[in-house]
This record gives sequence, structure tokens and C-alpha cells, in this order.
Amino acid sequence: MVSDASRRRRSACLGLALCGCLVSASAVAEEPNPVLEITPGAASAFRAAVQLFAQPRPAAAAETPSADPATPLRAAPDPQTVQVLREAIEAGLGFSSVVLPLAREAFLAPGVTESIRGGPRAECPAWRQSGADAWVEGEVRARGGLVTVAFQVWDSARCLRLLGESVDGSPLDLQRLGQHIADRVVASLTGTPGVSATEIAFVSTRRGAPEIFVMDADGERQRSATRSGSLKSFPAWLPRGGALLYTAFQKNGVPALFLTSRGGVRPGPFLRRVLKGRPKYRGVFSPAGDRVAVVSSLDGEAEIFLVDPDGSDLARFTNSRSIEVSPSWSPDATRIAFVSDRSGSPQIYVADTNGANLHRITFQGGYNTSPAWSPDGRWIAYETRVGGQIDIWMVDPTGEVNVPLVAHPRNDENPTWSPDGRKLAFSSNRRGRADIYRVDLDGRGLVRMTSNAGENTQPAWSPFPRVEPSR
Amino acid sequence: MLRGVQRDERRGLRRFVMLSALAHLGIGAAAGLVSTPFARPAPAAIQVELLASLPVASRPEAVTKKPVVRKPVPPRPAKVAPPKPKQVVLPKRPRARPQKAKPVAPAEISYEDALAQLRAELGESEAPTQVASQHDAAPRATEAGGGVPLDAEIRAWMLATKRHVRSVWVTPPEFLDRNLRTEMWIDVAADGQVVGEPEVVAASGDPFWDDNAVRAIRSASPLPKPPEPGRWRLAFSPRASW
Repeated sequence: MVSDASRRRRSACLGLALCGCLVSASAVAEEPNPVLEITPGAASAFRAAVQLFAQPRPAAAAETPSADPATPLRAAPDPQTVQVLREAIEAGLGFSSVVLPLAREAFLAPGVTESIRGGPRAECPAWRQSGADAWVEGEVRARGGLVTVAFQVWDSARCLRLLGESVDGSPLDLQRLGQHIADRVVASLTGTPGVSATEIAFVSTRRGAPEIFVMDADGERQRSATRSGSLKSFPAWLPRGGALLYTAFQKNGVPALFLTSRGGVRPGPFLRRVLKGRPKYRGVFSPAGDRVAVVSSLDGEAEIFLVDPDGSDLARFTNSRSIEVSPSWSPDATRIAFVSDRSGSPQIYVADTNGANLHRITFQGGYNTSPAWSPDGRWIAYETRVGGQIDIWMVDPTGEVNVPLVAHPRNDENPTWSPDGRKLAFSSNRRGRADIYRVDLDGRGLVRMTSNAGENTQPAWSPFPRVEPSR
Repeated sequence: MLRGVQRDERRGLRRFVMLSALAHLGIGAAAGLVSTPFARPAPAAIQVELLASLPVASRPEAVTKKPVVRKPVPPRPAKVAPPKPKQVVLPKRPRARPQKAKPVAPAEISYEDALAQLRAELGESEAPTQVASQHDAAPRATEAGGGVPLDAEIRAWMLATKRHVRSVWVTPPEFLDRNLRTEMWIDVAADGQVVGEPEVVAASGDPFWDDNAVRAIRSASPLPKPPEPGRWRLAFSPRASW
């Protein structure tokens, strides 16, 4: 009996304990709040305040004449230089569309700028108050015939220095110096630099025969890169920038490849001994610069070949009885998009560089050409005929997602990506003659960049510049 | 003899009953313990229901529009939502993107306003509220008896906070069609101040997106005044869910 009772008690205790467990477990289950899911709002651009000042300050410099007579240029830069530089930085930021300059009246505070300092910075709340997501401050010095800017980028919300650098530039080209700084500021906030210091090459007939021209990415400083008088086409940048590969028709009427350069590469005929005597319609360097895709023909129809820049290791990329043209490398250089008419109409195909995994990616309509692989590798922009007009669409490399980018009742052609992937340049005859336009990927900021006489076509956006503004 | 047998039977019966009771309790406990982990998080699903049930919630864009676009397309979410470029487009046409069409967003709504809106909604239509509470607040409601006001307060605060953070969070377009998700814990004081540093517990893989989420929270502090101070888990992603 006793044992019965104790057993009962024990089981009752156990039962209670188990119930207790259950209750406490369910109580724990209730406790956590749901996750607060935040999705993007309307703000798509950071605001950056730009504050530059001369060092040493002009007043101090006037009081104590240069201590070192050997370097008479070691004086304070004149206020004009500082202002031009600041405006160049602000313009460069504005060009990015993702970091916009803050209006000066929003943040000008007297006596704040003595010299740039490290942290901790007590001004962060004031910066935030003024609406600045980022605070750019720089000291401008004149040194040895150059202008030196030591600058910092501060994240005002986290009160954290994102970047601190020093850069030299020519006092005669403050624009370029400002653009370089602006692009670096964009990189510090988004991970991808801005492209205000990049360039766009294109073909123009403004002086008669089609020649290769180059302009800054904002459309300024349009200048010719070739002027031999022969018919030229298909400019393509070398990956290191500063040099262009293009096609020119020789006197015998056979097209060949040529280089033009600002230095670093010897200008002149390119791959002359490769496919000797055969027409070479177009050449495109791989992103790393170690291979060149060349459109040529051995037996009538155009095919694509791959070759090293020194002419060795020639391989045939396409091999069919149809026409294969317009190669565009994937950014990792493992695949090539190109145009083929093997289906009876020009369509875009993608294949590995060894020719494997060939598949067609465009299916709408009977005219899809000019593939341009995006810098992030996720899209291929191309031109397509929709009804009576040619528009620019983009398709993913598998061909599954296909979306319009630029459309107009006239023709939009030859898309080329900015190296940050945020913009697209193309040629369009929407105002009669063909001009070069650029547009942000989200459809905003459409700008016509050429307005000279003649046809302006085949834009090619340069890679990021790899040299400092002073070089 | 017979009595001995009966006693034995009775004892056996009692033992059987006790054992079975124990077994039931054991199974019940095991079931309860096993089920709790499932009962616990599932926050994304909860959140979607909860927001969907709220009245003015947010701008028509990401939250409401994209899922609709995505629905018909079958399995692969990453590719499916043919990202932002789809809405991007055509300089010549009137822009279809609500974000731009409405630059002056109803950025901030005060906590009281949100609460008032929510109460109005509760008064007007019961059905959606019940659907929401079924998913979200069922345990709390049963525990607290008339627990609905508490939930409504918290939900109103969540709504107001979400709007406030969205109004200061800068998201360049290049991030919008990517699968990024940053989760962090924040401590919210009684006055809405975010105390200390946000603790990122699940990074997105892109440090700039993570930094940007922390930046958003720092810019947003102080948040709307919460019903009570506490620790909250936040998730920053270009889309509501995928």
C-alpha cells in the first residue's frame, strides 16, 4: 500500500513536472516578436557634402613667405583652384546618379574647416542634421607644379571614416582630378566606383569619312583619335584603357585591325600576320586582355576566331556555314555572346570560349544583334526590331528573362555599358541624324551627347581608368 | 484467493492506467517540445500576413506589386522577378515606376496616426484582422485575454517604424534586383532611441548592403516611441520576401 501511494505521488509529481514543461515551453514559444521586415523606400541616392580648403590657408601663407625658396610653388593654391575643384567633384558625383552633391547652403558652417582630421568627429550630428549621408572634405595643396588633394569620406550616420586618400593632378586639368575624387567617393559608399572619369569612343562622319572619336563620359572634350581618311568602324577599348582597337578598310579594300593609343601601346596594324590576307572585320579584347576575338572569314562567311594578342594560339570559336559576328565577352571571360544567322535570321547565341554549351538566347522577332554583356555578367543588352523600329532590350545569359530598356519610334542601336553597369550609351536617329545618347539603367537621365553634323554611331564605353590623374 | 486475484487485477489495472497516463503525458510533452521550435520563428511568413492585413501599409510598389508579378512564374525566385529593369524602361513613355511617380512619399506617419488608422480598420472590418491574428498573435491574444489592443499597439509601432526607416534608407538601384538580406538585432529604448550598435546576425554577402542597413538604422534613430523598450530583430532586403 505504501509503495502504491508513493508511486502515485511520484507519478503525480512527474505529471505536474511534465505539464510545467509544456506550459513553459509554450510560453517561450510566444516570446519573440516578429521580424521587422524593411524594404527600400524612395531614396535612391546618397547626399554628399563636399568641403575643400586650401592648405596652407592663403592668409597664413601671405604672412610667412615660403620658407623653402627652392620650391617656390609650395604656396597655397589660389581660391579659384579650390572652387573649380570642388565644382568638378560635385559634377562628378552628380554624374553617378547614386551620390548627389548637397547644396552648399545646406551645410556651410563658419569656422569648421581648419584641416582634415581623423576621428572621433564631434561634427557627425551636425552633418546628419544638414542632410548629408556622406561628408567629403579635402585639403588642396600646390606642390611641385601639381595640385595635391588629401581627402576623406565620412559616413555621417555611423560617424565612420570610409576613405582617406591623397591624389595628385595637373592644375591644368582640375576637371579630371575632381572626377577621379568623385568616382572614389561613389566607390566608398556603394562598392562600385563612379564613371565620371571614363570615356566613350565612337565613330563619326563629322569630318567626312567615318573616323574614330573619343569624348569624356559626360560628352565633353570630343576629339578625334584617328584621321587617316580611310573608312573606320567598331572601336573597342583595350582593357587597360588609353588605347583602342578598330577596323579600317585598307587601300586594297580589305578590312584590317589597327590600334590607336595615348601611350603604352604601339599604334598601327594589329594581328597583321594572323589570318594573313583574309578580311578582319572586327576585333574585341577579352576583359583580362589575354585573348582577342576576331571576326574574319576563311571561306566566304564570317566566323569568329580567338587568338592571343601576340598572334599565337589561334583557335576557331565558331564553325558553321552561316554568318557569325559581333562577339561580346562575359566579364569572367568564360563565355562569348555573338550573332549568328544559322536559324535564318540574325539571333544572339552564347557559348563557352571552347565552343561548348552553345545555346540561343533571343527568340522575339527576326532581327536581334549587337550583344553587349553587362559588367556584372547578369545581362546582355542588344538591339531588336520591334515592329518598324529598332529598340534596345536586355536578356539574361540563359535567355529566360527578356526586358525592354530603351524604346523610341526611331531606331536605337549599338548599346554599350558603362563599366559600373549603371548606365548605357547607344546611338539613335531619333533627331534625324544618328547621335550618341546615354541613359541610366532605370530609364532616367537620358542625355544626347553629340550634336555635331554627321552620323555618330557605334559607341564603346571605356573601362575604369587605371592611371592617376597626374599621369 | 479470489480476492487476491481481484486485487492483483485491480493493481494491474491501476498500474496500466498510470502507465498509460504517464505515456500520454510523455507523448504530449514530447510533442509540445518538438513543436515549439516550429512555433517559434517563421517570422517572414508572419510578417507578410501582418503587413498585408494592415490598412494603408505602404506604397504600392515592392511589397504589393512584385509578388503579383512573380506569382505566375514557377519555381525559381531569383530569376523570376525580372528585376527592376522591367519597370525601368522607356525614357519616352510615362514612367510606370511608382517610386518615381511619387517622390514626396508619405514618409513619416506618427505612431498615433498609425494607431488611429489601425483602430479604424479594426472597427470597420473584422475579417482581415482575424486572419492576421490567427497567424501572428494567436498565442498572445489567448494569453492576455483581450490581447488585441496590445497587438495593435505593437503592430502600429512596427508599421510606423518600418515607414520611418524606409524614409531615411538610401538604396541605389543597382541593389534592388539582387537577393540580399541583412538581419540585425537592435535595442530600442523607451524614447525610441536605438541603444548601442546594431548587432548584425545574418550578413547579406555584400558588405556595402550590410553597412547601408546599419547606416539606415543609425540615421533613423530615434525611432517612433515604442509601446515598451525592447530588443527587435530587423531584416533589410530589396524585396519583401522571395
